Amino acid sequence: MDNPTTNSAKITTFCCNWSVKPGLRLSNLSTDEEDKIIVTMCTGRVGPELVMQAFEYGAWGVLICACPLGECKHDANYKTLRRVLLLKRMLSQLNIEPERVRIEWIDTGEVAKLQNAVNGFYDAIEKLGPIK
Amino acid sequence: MTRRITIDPITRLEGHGKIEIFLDDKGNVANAYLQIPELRGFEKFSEGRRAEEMPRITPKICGVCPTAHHICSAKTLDDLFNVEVPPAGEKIRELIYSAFMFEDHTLHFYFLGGPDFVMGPDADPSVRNILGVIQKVGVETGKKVINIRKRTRDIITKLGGRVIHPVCGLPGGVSKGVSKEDREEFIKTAKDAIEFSKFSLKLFDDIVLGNKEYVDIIVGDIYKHKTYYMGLVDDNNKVNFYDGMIRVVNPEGKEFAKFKSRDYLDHIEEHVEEWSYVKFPYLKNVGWKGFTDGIDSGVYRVAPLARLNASDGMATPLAQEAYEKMYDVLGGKPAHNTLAYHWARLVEQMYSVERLLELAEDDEIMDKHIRNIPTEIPDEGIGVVEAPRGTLYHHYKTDERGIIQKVNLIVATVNNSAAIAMSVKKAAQGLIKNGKVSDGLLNMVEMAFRAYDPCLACASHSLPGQTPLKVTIHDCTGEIVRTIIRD
Amino acid sequence: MAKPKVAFYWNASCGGCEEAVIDLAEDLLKVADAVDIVLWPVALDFKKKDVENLKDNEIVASFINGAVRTEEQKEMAELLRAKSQLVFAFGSCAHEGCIPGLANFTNREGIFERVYKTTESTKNPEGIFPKVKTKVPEGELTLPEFFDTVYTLDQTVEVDYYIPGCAPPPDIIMNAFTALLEGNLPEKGSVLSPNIALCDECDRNESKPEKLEIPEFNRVHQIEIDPEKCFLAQGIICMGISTRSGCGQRCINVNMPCRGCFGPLDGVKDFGLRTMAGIASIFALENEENLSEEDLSKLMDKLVDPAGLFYMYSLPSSILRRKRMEEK
Repeated sequence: MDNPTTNSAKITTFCCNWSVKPGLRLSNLSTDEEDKIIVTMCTGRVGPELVMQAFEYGAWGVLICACPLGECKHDANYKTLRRVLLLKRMLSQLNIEPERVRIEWIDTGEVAKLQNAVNGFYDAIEKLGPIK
Repeated sequence: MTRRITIDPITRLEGHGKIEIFLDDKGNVANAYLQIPELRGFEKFSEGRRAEEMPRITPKICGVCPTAHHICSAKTLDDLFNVEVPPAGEKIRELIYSAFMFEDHTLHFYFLGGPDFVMGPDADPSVRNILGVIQKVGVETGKKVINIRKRTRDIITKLGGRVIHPVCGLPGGVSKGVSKEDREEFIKTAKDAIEFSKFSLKLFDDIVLGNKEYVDIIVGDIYKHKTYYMGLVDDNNKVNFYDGMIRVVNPEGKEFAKFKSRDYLDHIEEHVEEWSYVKFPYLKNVGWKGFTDGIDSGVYRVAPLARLNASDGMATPLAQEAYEKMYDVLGGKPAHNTLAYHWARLVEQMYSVERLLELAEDDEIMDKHIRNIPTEIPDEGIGVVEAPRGTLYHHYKTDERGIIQKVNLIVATVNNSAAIAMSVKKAAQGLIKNGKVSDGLLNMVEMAFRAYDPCLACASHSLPGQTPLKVTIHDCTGEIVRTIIRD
Repeated sequence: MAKPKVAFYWNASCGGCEEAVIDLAEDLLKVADAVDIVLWPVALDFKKKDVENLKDNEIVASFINGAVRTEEQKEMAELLRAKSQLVFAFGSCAHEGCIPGLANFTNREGIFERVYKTTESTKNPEGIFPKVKTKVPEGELTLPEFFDTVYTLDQTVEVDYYIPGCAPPPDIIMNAFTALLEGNLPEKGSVLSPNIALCDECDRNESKPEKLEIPEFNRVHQIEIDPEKCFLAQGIICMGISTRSGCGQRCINVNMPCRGCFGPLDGVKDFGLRTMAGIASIFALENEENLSEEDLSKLMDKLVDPAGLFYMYSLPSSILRRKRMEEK
């Protein structure tokens, strides 16, 4: 691993527009483009190819913040979960730590949970370092 | 000074090969090496895969004999899951296999090895190929070859889905049965193929046996090695391609061993050299004594001539007739003449289609029960078939989910790798004298190699496969004096 | 007028693509008539030197099959690229890496260790491995070094067209030859097969329920397969949902599911992931709301070896290209 102090972890976060974005606004998380928090209409649109593309662009980890299971308007977050579960298995077979992809369930008002999720993931990924 | 001759790549072989010939200070052959410069690693990357996908993975070892790997893999899965194949399932597999042996032998005789004889070893390289053969034997004959190959290959397509890399084999049987219309078509094809095999044997008689010069080459000492021979035989010790016991005879033709595929590790070991990606199998109970023939060397040969030598005959009448004639001319069994592989290939071509007809006419092949579903927990399986180029072994170990943990493969051509290297050396020694090397002579060295129909795609299953060839001639200081590349 | 010069060449391949050309049967004679074949190692005796002596762009089209695994293959691909107006990636290995590309799950060291040392039949107490250079009494022998990674053709040289399939079927090959000879090839970079998913033209389409759902994951050897019914509806993974058509449903015809040898539709960046996403979205459980994440995770474990399955033909052309070999 490269020197962690000079290489702060690069993570990409995908957030659901409906359940997560309101909380995101209230949080102290930066939504600047270079901080890579991306709001999508539904995490059902965050396919595995998109996740891998984030890695291709240099992410060390990818966090998906979706609405809690059973609460998705499009009934798509189960789909997202199934894809993430399979993606983790495929990554593990290819010797990429499956922990680099995480899915968190966040409801509209859960600002602190969101903030903790992002920060917690950041810390975990910083420990892992970049994908070599 | 030593001179060095490189033949690279050897054309008209499926795969990639390289022959290095070293000359001594008198310009005679000091040594010759056959190198296989490729490796793919199927043994390794199959680890972690689903066992049931192995019949779809292993055919990619070789696009010329995918059916051999496919069927061998399916048989390995039968053993792995300990499941019995219903009679119709076995017969369908053997029918596919018989069609395959025919079309593959036909490919070799007319496209790959045949041009040497039909055009003559001294012919210009630009006509020493299938297009040249078609010109010489006539366009009609050429079309006949193409047509009968197509029709037998269609049988594989019908039942295997794809002729290049079939997919029908499952543990316990096959995925598709034979329809009434297909069966009628298969019978017709088999009958025509028998006629074609008669024609091939006659062509060999006319062009090769009718020419004293060729016969002298075949029976001559340059193309001769006294080795052990291995082949699969049925209960009556007759040649069988699909199933049976593995029989080994010694250089005098006496039975040396007879064993089941499950026991192959008691009989075969493989030797590694630094200068080739291909390993050199030998008989464990004789031992590896280097690249040498005779009763004390564990080097054995496989494929057509070896199968005939290791058997007591052919199970069908016309093939038996051809078999007897061959040994009459060659002066009895075992025949050690490497170029007789071409002839033995035609004897087998006849057997394959006679067997094809028997199977197509067998009513049981129409039975709907073509497959049993495995019920046991998989652990370890070993399978064997006679591929066109020799005895083929697949060996898989899995976990209880049927995920591959270990794979070992002894691939047809690889069995012959030591013998091929020896044959090349001997031919080079006999033909290259006092530093005189011509293209025609080099082709005659290549002929030693081509007689085995070596499939280097197969041999290099452990790296990516190709077969062109390069002969380099080195002088005694190691300087390259001449390089001939065919690619 | 001089006949157009064409070349056929094989890199790391199995010879099946050569067979596919020979399988054109009588059409092959027509093609051989219309063109001047300057290189075809499987069937004709020619020398590399002959190709080197050609002028740049003198070959109208080179059809190159096989993946790229050694320096030698890379050089040959570069030579043919320089001498050819058009380069066709012929077959799945050149197109996407194919099954030999599964070697990207390991590397040279892993392969050597298994093949030359630990295989059950190998006797190698001194631990000899093949070497690039070996001294023998008469001189020195060399072997080409092979790369740790299998590359597709377009990761090596610029490719103009792709002929998909393992191996490409005769009609797809003939269509490509005809388009070349008649001068009506499509846009550069095209895959020469219809841009339609195999699923959309599958004979079993009618049997497909209105809302296709995979009830459970079954493996081909575990159940009786209904020859009329959609594989997915039987719980068997079939990759026809994301695979380009043009194969003539050759595997499905014998009651075996698609494994994706024709590769993806236009615009797909990672075929394996796209297929996985499709399969995961139609895996439906009636009581999913009552399941915990762990329960669902256990069900997903039944889909064994997902990377080997979804990347069966395309690991080298995936986003990751290979398994990471460095220590974590």
